Amino acid sequence: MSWRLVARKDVADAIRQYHLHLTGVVAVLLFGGTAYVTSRTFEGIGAPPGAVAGALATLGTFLVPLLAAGFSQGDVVGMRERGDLKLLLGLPFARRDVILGSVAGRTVVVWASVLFGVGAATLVALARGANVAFDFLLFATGMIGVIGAVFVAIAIGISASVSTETRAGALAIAAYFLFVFQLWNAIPMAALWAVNGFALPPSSPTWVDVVINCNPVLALWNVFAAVLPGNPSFVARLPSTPPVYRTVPFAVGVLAAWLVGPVALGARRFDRTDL
Amino acid sequence: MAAIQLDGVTKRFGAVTALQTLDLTVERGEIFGFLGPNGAGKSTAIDVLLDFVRPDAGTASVLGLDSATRTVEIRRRTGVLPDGYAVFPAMTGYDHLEFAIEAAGADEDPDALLERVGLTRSEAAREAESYSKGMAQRLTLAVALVGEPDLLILDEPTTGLDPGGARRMREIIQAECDRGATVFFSSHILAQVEAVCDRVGILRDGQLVTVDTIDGLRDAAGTEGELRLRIDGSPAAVRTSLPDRVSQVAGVDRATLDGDALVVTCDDAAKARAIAACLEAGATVADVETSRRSLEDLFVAVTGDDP
Repeated sequence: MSWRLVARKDVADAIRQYHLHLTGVVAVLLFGGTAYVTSRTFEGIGAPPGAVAGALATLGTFLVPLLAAGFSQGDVVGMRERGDLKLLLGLPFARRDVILGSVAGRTVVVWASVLFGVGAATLVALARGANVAFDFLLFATGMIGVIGAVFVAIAIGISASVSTETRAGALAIAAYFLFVFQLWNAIPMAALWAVNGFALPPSSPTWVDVVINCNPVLALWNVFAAVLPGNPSFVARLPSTPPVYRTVPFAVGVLAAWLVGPVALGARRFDRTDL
Repeated sequence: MAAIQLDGVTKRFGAVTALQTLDLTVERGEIFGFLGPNGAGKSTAIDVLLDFVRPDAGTASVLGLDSATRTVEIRRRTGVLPDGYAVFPAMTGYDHLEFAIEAAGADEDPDALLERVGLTRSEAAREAESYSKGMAQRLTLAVALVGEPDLLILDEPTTGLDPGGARRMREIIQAECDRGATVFFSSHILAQVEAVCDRVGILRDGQLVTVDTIDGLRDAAGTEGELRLRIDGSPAAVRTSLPDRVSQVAGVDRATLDGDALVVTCDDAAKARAIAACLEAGATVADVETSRRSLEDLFVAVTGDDP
């Protein structure tokens, strides 16, 4: 289990280089601030259950992918560019240990930051006497952790596939906008436009919606929509019987695929490349 | 079973051929010097052994294990000082050694390793990123020594070391060999290889041009030497006649005047006869300097790196 040693080094690096401090402080300020604003909004009238959790979930879907991708994209390729990868691989590690260890290590750091942030937000909400629905809060935190892990996986997959940090950074930013800001939707729409003879049909076929819902961030929102009563306001309400591609099991499958796929592809490419 | 075996290894980077069907065997327990000018392919060959690069053709094995598939096992039993490495950021010298010891599953005293390579405790307590090149080399050598490896692969180990450090490096290499380890190290400086190696291989343009013992190389360099006789006290007529006369002596290649001196290129065995011929001709030989063709000359000749 050599990857665990790499993961531990990765976490220790994040502490030694004050990365954890930085992401932790950002999370504490933004989550805590969100809890403050939410509890203030509902002051006197009483927040509906899950209002705080919903607000934190909203913030988390934007902030945590950014922290995760930004913090992870330079990991593997940075070691490669600097040359400490050669020192690491002179020790009894396989290239796969480096990838898995990096994913695990960075995920732990992102999770720790989320916990700091949500912890601070909970304290703020409690101090202001807001109604903190702990079951919803726990659920929202868990899902934010999942999307954080997915973006670590995507960023490390990118980091392992390219040879310069500049490229890794550009691709990680692209991935963030692609998924969080739904640019992903343009891909199936463009495909539809092309197969339809360069014109959009009046109504889009089901497969377009299926592809759109393969976006990990949309999968997360579908889960929120199904479970959180005060779900983030920007998430479209689910119909009483949602189509399969907007159900929780489908979303879980999408998230799992984005967790495993980029790492597997990145590890495969990394395994075959000359260092 | 050989410590290192390369069979027909070819590696190209784009249009550049770094290694051209390279065959090389390093036996267990020997100190093997891997020589060649800059860009000859030494580091690429080492990178193939460590699976940092994949060859386009041919196979490599280390300690009898296929380098492409048994990588972790090879790395477990091999101490590595790679080319173009960097130390781990934000880690002290101690952190490096503790990490390496844990990775190797070894149980060693970091202080003992530091002392061997000549780093002080206060240096080891500093972040390694602040080290000079020589200090980083010492630390990385200490990391390579962790776990008493069966094989040491050292790429240009003396780079950045001061003379004392270079000597310590040679002593460590010798000590590791005495312990039973095989040492494979590359260098572009012949003197370092000459002092410590059992055998050397000379690489040029990705091909091995020579593999031999140091003594064998000396023989190949030839017994031909140079004799420089100071004859400034001799009569002018004698002096001008000397080149012709001495050239006639058996074993002498050529003899020429160089100011006050007569320069004779000849076999070692012919040197005394050449001096005798001068005396017979009535010359005064005030001083004699003699030199042999050095390994350095051979190295330059073989690698075609003549300036």
